[in-house]
Amino acid sequence: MVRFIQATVSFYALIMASTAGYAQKCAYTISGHVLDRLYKQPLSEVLVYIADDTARAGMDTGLLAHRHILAYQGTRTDTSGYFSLGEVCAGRYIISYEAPGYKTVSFVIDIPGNKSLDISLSADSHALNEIIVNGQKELVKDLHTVTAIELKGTALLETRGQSLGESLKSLPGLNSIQTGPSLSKPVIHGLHSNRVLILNNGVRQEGQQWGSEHAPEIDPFVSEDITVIKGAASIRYGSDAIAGVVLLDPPAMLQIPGLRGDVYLVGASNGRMGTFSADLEGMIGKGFLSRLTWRVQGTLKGAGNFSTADYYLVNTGMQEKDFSVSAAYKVKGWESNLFFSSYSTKIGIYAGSHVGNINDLYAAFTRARPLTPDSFYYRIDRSYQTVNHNILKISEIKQFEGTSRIEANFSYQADLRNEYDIDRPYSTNPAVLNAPQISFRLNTIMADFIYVKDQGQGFSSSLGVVGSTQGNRYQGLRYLIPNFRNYGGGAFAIEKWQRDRLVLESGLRYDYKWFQVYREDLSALKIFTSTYYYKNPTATIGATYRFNPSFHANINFGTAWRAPSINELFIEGIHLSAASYEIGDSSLRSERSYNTSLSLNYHTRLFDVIADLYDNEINHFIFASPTLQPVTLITGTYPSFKYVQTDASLHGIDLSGQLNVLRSVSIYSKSSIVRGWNKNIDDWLIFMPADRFQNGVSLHADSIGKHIKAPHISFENLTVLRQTRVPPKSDYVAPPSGYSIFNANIGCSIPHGKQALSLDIGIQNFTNVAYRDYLNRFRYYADDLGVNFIIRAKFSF
Amino acid sequence: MKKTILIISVGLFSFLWSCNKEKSISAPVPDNEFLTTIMLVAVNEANPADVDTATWVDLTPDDPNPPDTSKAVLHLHSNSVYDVQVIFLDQTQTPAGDITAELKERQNYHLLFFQPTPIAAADTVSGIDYTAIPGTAPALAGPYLNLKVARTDKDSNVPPQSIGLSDKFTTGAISSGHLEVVLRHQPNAKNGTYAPGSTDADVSYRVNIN
Repeated sequence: MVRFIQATVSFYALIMASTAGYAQKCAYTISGHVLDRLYKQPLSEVLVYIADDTARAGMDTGLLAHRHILAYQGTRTDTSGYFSLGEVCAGRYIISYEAPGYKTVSFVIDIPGNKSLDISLSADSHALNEIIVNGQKELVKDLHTVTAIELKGTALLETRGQSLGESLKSLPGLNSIQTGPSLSKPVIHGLHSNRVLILNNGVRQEGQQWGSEHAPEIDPFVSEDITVIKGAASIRYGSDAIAGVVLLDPPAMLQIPGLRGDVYLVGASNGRMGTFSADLEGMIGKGFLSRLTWRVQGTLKGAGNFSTADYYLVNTGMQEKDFSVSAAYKVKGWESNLFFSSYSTKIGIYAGSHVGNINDLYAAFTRARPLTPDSFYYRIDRSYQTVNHNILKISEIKQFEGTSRIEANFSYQADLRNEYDIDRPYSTNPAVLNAPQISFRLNTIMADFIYVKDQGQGFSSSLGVVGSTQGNRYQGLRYLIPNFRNYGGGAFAIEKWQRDRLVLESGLRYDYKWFQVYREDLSALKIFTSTYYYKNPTATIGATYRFNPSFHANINFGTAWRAPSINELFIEGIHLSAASYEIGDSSLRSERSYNTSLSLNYHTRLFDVIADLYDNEINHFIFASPTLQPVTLITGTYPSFKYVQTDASLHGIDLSGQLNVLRSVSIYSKSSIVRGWNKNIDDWLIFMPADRFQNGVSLHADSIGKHIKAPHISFENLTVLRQTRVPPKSDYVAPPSGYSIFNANIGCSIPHGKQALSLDIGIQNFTNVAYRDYLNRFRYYADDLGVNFIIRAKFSF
Repeated sequence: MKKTILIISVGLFSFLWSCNKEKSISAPVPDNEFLTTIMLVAVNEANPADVDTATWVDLTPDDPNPPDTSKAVLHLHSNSVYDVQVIFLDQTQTPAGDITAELKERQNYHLLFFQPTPIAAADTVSGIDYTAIPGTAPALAGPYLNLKVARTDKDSNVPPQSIGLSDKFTTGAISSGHLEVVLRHQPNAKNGTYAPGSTDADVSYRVNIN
């Protein structure tokens, strides 16, 4: 019998904004107390700061939205929980409270104005464990030593309707590897797939991530705050995060009785795409279930054939239906959470990309324009893939005095992926005729316990144990990968020390993984079992130092590992979308990475520069290498690829800057440069992102007239150079030439009482340039997307 | 508190371990038909007793083990006309599955191509209703394989188009070479040319004309 822990964390704050005797403009004082609601104890060292809300609204329009330059003032509460902020000007501010172990609470206040507010904060499941840095918090919060960026607010609204991989593309250091317009996977510092961990509401996403055409099974609408941690070392979430971590956090649950929600409508001209998403949340506030808070959320999305600058891409339509439900119940230091999400999609694969063999492939490359008919429709023909992904998460938190707590999390997820080739199988049996050629089902169960202790004197630590099990069932008409089962267990500890301007942190984790593979020999009708054991540590150590209020630096060193995935070990079969025959190697060893990163951040009101430098040395880096020995099958001759290991070195720089020329005009610039080197052959690594530069100008104002708030307009140029750093004879076609496209955005918000309507109109590639991107696998066959007009509306109530 | 943690740990981990009793072995896959065997059966129009068969077999069509091409040889007489049937089989089953019948059912989506090599530059013409495979390099000099192929069957498209399961092979002077046979799968795109669609089968036979 499982016993559940329940926990509640809250604190109580009273804020009074008192006006000075004379209504001088900058002579107001905000003061108050912060208390732990449960124990009625004053909480010391809570960061309280205000940021200029109008400034933020304007800044959000820039591409540096993840690192705002704000007019801010901050302080910490004293031992009696008291804080006071003086010399505050009149205006609208966002006030935020931050404390380790508590989820940050922010809300809008108007100065002058007398307010008495009750706030309760929910425990933050990531606090201390995953390290989250972002602009707004970074200004006053000195916790983090790993490079991270955040996508939220207006910048997130401007990506609504796109898939997760596409949404993250605008962040410096990120790219996406694409298979046509609707399949997109995030790439962090040149690495992707199994090397990027994705956490959906704290649950480590476990799908069939290994295929480059297997996009993450996530609806980005579940989150209002997407954080990307660049670099290795995920102590809390386990192995594999050699490239980084993507965190999708749902908004904090409602803290006061009532009902609120959002409705999103997105329409795009390219693909004639429509997206509808809505969420509704509430707190009952009365009777037996008065402490129960709940949220339901759902998304519907549909698109037809997308179009390039000159022609339609036939059979690139998609349909998606997602929903999620969450509930939380808090009582006396106990908190229970329940989360369920369901994702299901059907995605057409571009008809022009279907090739039977190498001759068809070469014929397809040489065509200036694909042979497929140039027409629009919403229907999805073969070939297509369907994916269902369900996640159930239950978590219990017990909060002790101070910030100490115990957390128990349990999750179950099931991922079913079916892939249908363009041809039906040769059979007269209707069950076979309609069966997918490739079908995988992956079930994963994970559980963890975490104990966080605040030891005082600047020390805090967390300890955890984790366990997981996974089973994969393959049921295809063609062999591709075998069935497997694995059990994993691990333990970790994170220690942090903070004093004045310096933060030091270190973490250590040890994992054990038992991995058994069941291969069926069809001719002998026997099952062969192979068992693997992996035992590896993960470690990180880092420091942050704030030299002065406008300049700080993070340095971090981390080492992480990744066990070879099932395809790298055992794949054997045709990848039709690539017309290649892939062969795994069952003797591959784990990858080990040594990642060093340095982040320099300089912020002033006028000027903002962020430089992230990194070096990632990966031993036993696994990739598919051409064998130069073609495989002859009845359908023709295929180039074959075998998974091999090499020592690789990746390094680069993400540079972003913003200059606020005038109060209402900003210029911004972002560059991402990555270099990959294969040390064994002393040549470049294949499929590294090309150098990418985004430059733009944004105009913004506080308001126009009475009703229109935060109007903004931006123009930007995106220039991607040709990737010239590739080893010879490594690809079918040379990398495409560079391209330069223009995007524009215009938006505003119209508040009306408690409701607000945010509008955004975007034009992507408005000069309708025909181009091909090196990381899009369909560059072999067709151009990338042409002009796209997008209208987004978000209504909050 | 330690006791609580212990109880929870034991409870949750035993739950974890007790779950996932999913079968580790694949459920049997419904019988899928593979293309394992492609035969050319040639009957001399002048002499029905003159029959030759060439067979290309790969009983493991999904793995890189090489096919058996020891019987993929066609012996024809010079200056003769042959009626040829192309037969597709699945010999992983007993009795062998007849794929030819299924191809006939889906005749509007399939088109066969026949490419003799070596050929003269003048014979590389391809286009609507030609059986040559575009892109085949002509030999710089003879001797060429003196073989001409014409399809004799039609599908039910409007207007009807060739299929190539039944053909007429016309031989010339004594020569030898290879014949590449390609089955193109062209759903909703068949127009008599090679380009649309994808390749279902691509095999090569030795041909001796004597």
